Amino acid sequence: MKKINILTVCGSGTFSSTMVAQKLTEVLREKGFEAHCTECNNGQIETQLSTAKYDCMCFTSPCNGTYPIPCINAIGFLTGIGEEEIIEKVLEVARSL
Amino acid sequence: MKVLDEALIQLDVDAATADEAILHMADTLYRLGYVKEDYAKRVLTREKEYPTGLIGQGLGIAIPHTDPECVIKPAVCVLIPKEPVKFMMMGTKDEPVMAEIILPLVVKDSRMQINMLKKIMELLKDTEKLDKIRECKDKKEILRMLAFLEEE
Repeated sequence: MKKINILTVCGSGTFSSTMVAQKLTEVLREKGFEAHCTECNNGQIETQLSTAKYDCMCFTSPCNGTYPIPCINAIGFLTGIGEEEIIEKVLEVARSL
Repeated sequence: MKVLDEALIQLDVDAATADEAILHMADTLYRLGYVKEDYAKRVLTREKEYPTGLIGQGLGIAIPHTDPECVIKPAVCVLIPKEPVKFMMMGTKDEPVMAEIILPLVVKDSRMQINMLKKIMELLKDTEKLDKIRECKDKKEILRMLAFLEEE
């Protein structure tokens, strides 16, 4: 199975980032991708990006910097609104690998 | 995993601001030994930096929480304010959400509670159930509606 490395970001680095990671892993598995998600908070983004290779970032708290990988707003996973769009964006990244 | 407690279901709460709502629940959480002393301050600070307001299908929700260090035991609380309380939308700093139902989430270890987090995600999307909870005046009935959170 093709792998995709995703950094999931939220304010505390534990709560919604874990929910997002969980959801991504599930959805991507159905689509034939193996998602490796790492959870972090906003303050840890730079360190994470410099120590490991990520294909994209999914966030629920605003990521203000400019990053070399696609940054996808994943708040919709918590509310159920716009889930398809989020999934499509992540799949686009996954397919391009 | 036990996360529900009748004392943590608070209805008709007189809270004019998000801070008041958070402090109201924090008092009970501290008194009952769910959280350490610095919990309230940390949730308030975090809420300003990383707001937790969400809009389901037209229903304003807020899920104030903080990092696990100041948590002693996990809990899912329900606070229904008398009047909707202004929170900011998650992912923004200035988009208001008028929260009609506030669910303070006391998370001890997110990996241990992955199953429960999944159920909370289901709940956040279930506007019909949230609406019923909001209108319900009976704490025991609310506990029954949330019992699925504790199922393994």
